[in-house]
Amino acid sequence: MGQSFTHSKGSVFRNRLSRRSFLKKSSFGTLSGVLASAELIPVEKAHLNTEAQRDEAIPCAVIGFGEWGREISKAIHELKDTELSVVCDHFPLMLRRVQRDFPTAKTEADYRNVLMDDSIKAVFVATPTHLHREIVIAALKAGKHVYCEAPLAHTIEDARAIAVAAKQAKGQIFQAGLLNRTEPQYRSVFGFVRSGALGKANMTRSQWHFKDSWRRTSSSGARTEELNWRLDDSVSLGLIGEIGIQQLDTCMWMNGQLPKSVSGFGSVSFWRDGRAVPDTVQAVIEFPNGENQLFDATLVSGFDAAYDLYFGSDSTIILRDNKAWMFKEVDAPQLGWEVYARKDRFYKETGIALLANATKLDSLGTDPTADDPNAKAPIWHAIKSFADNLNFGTLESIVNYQMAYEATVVAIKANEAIRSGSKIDFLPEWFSIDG
Amino acid sequence: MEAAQTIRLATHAMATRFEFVLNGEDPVQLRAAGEEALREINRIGKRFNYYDASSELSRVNREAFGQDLPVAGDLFELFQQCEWAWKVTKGAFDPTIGPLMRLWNFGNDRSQVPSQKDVTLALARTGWQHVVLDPKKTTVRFLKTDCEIDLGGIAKGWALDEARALLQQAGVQSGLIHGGTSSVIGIGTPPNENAWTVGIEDPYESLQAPSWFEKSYLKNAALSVSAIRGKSTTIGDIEYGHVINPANGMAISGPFVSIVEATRAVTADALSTALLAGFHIQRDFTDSTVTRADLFHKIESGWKLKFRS
Repeated sequence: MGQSFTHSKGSVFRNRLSRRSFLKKSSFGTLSGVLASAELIPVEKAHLNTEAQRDEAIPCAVIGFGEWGREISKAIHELKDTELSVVCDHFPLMLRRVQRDFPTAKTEADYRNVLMDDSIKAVFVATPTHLHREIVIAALKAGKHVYCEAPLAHTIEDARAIAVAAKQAKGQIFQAGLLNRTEPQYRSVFGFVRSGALGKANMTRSQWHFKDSWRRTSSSGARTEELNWRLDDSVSLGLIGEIGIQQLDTCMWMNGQLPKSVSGFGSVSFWRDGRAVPDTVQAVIEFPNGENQLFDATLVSGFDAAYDLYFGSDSTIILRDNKAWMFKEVDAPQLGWEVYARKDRFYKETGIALLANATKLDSLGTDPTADDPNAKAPIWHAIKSFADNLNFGTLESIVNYQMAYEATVVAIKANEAIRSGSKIDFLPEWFSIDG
Repeated sequence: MEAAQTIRLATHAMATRFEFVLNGEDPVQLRAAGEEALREINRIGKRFNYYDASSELSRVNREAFGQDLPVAGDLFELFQQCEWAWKVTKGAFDPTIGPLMRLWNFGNDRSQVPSQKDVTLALARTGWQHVVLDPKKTTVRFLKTDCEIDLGGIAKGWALDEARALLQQAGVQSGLIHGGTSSVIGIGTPPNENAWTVGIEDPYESLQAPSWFEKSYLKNAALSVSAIRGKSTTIGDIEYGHVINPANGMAISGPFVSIVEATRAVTADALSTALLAGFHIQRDFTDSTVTRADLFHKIESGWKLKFRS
């Protein structure tokens, strides 16, 4: 399996004319067209023939087996394009959990040994945010293709160092974990928004509500401290940085602009256990086109969970649980297709279901609130995108280092605004990875 | 030494309510431990949900026929537990009885018992003997095209066992955790007590006047109680419960309650379902992890022990 590849820095499996090479050559033109136009029209990419693929699955390593590292590992394990070869964590208990969840994967305590393993082609970094820099840069230097969780880092300096290293690593894939950009329903809504379905877009409202102390524990005191990095004021980007970055990035993507300023507020309103990191935050992200975003997140109330609302003069679109509905204004023009689309009641409103695969006739009868048998978690789509790029490319990532860096900068500054209760104007040079 | 404190947590998963009562010195750490365990229960609920077409279990049901389908290590372990329970109960516990469950359509109105023809057709699709597990590759394969697995009778217990492991790894030494009150684990003992005392309600008495007809005493042990009340269908004057005898495809009727205590909740869950399904656990059944396996029958004078393993 993994041993059948010989690693060669900066190249993608060039020592063997495999099926992957064949696909790459034969499909390059088609796929590059898809990727080039990705900002305009989201296109569902062709999936590879799934059989007879295990022998060429991409050998992958996951570094950091916390709750999210476990989800990444699960998706890699499920995908036929990828093989979960190694999982690395320096805490022995986590490696025992790896052995139980994924008996065929090897375990490793030191990430440097993973990077020295030539059979490993792709590395997924899911450590705490402040530990990304060292590992990502080392992985890129070792010639690995890298998937790095978002945010890239907890400081602009670290984020910039990662982005520069990714830019310099020619021929290597660098993809960041901004999940909505690779999620089919979000990509479909992106097409609606960009085609003017909202009329004059005017604002976005995003929320993330979950009742949880956000605290972690372990029988070991030192380990408990390590696990609670999200509540450590010196390294944590708080709710808006660690969670909200996904929704901030989506708004930047839909708007097609970088924000002008951010104003924030935050408080420890319920979990008064000595923490300084707020359990409830609000922020307004101002955009040059006036289509500002209101964001709030809380660990105090789980009411109404998480969603994004994109408002406009003709309609409003809600995205939640990777499903979407459109609510039209009474005076909005007919679009034509909505007559045939499924409608759902939301209190006094009627939502028109927006299905990512609506062009398929059979999907018109599908209840958008029901489970889609083909539904996959957003992380599955992110890794599928990464694997497709490796199989067909190497091309520029759908979520590249520049996008990840920009989102990280916004998250860092939004957290600063929340912590200081102030407004911060973005300086253009902050968004440049050259400084 | 600080005084023991008690915290309570709850979540909604697997169409029921899971609750924890945890004792310890530090309520902040107790809550953190409890939240991790609740998140795991939710995760298991989603992954092993028969009714969610995109769940891992549904994928197995769609794709395992005719191929060795690799599954996650913990799901494979759960399948092995199913196989063990199926064997020791001589088929009375069988997670492949989904077609029969849907035929009976419990909880919804039916005017008559399913026809023998329909039962026979559904029976032909059931049986764990059509499921092949390969421990070396952690794969599952169905030998019959329309075979499928429903973990409804065992997943709550499995989730509680996983929750207990996480709580204990985080240092919790005393707690009572349950899923829908029918599956319970006592971790350690309550402060100044020898065991957790759990009263078992008479499901045929009014909810306004609950009465315990039996009690269970748990110390690092699990309890599972099964009865047909709750999810049942009344046809004529007979109440048919949501437990089916896999041998003949008939739903269980009559006022029965099974009570099983075991080291692991997953074992207790499987055996309490099997007891209710009308089969005796094989007479020579012995398992050091099972400390009680009782089937009660309600007659006019009260509850009578019908069978004890």
